[in-house]
Amino acid sequence: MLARTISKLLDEAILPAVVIIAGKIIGLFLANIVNSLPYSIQPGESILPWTVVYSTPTEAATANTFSNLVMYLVVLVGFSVVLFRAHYLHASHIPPKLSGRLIRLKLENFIADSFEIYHQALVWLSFLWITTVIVFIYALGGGSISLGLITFLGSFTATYLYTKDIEIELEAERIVEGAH
Amino acid sequence: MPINTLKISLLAMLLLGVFSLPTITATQLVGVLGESTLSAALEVRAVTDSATFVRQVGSEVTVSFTKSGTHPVIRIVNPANTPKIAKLALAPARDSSLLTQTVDLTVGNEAIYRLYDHSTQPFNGIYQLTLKPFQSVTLNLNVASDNPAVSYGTFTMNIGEI
Repeated sequence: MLARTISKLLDEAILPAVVIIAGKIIGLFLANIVNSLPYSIQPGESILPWTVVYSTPTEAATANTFSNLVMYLVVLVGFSVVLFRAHYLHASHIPPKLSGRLIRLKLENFIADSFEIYHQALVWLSFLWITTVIVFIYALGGGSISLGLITFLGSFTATYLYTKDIEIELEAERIVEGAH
Repeated sequence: MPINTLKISLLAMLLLGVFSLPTITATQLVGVLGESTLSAALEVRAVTDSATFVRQVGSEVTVSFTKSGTHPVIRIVNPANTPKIAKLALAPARDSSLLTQTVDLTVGNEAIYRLYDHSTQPFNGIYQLTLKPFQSVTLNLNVASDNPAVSYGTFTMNIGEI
């Protein structure tokens, strides 16, 4: 069971990790285009193969705030999809009417079991908090504090909504156990 | 299990990338003792590969090559936040070269300076290369030859700033 769990977590973790990196890079290039920021790409300044270098700290802060917002939103959208599935397409408490309609439309693959939902949600939620921490690191280094607070509130709300689904799941299990 | 090892390695690399994201941007540092980036001079760096030998003394760069093909030889960096113009001047050849075709100095795929045409130097003028703020340009040597065994030569180039 443990090996299966670890394997599932590994499978689920690759996509959000790629999404975070892609979100940050795309966000940076969008920030440069939208704000017309002059920049140069130089190799060997960090662990990453290249660094985007700005002339002034203000330009760097603008680019980072914008790209952090894009990165966070991308991860939040990913987690929202998982949350939507957890609330509405969760095999343990999907409304029978919706379940029947999905089966009629041959869309039963959209229904997910608890094993899949909880592993996916755990991974996406972890990455959501990782991006929140990254945004806070920027805020401590002179970046936007308001963006740090917004991401914290967003992640807190997402975590709360996720725990609500766990509550529903536990309640459903209790009812099933009571019936037996 | 090899597939799981692969997944763990991939995930570890991705996580390293994720946690390195705060270092993806930087600000151009102002030089020591109040030297502003505005006045920072062009930097000329020798680059070499197995078929070239590049020696740099101040602004003078001497390049020896022994094979045909494209070889990176010089990198010019503009550390300033203003555009700069590099001045490239070829010194007359001091030793013999043996070349069956042409040798060009190139930036990307564009030839900017013909150094040799069948073992003779056709052009000893000055070439100007404009560098944008913080831009780095690598000059390549493109040695065309129909006999790779007899493609060698040496040239000296002075690289300054206008």
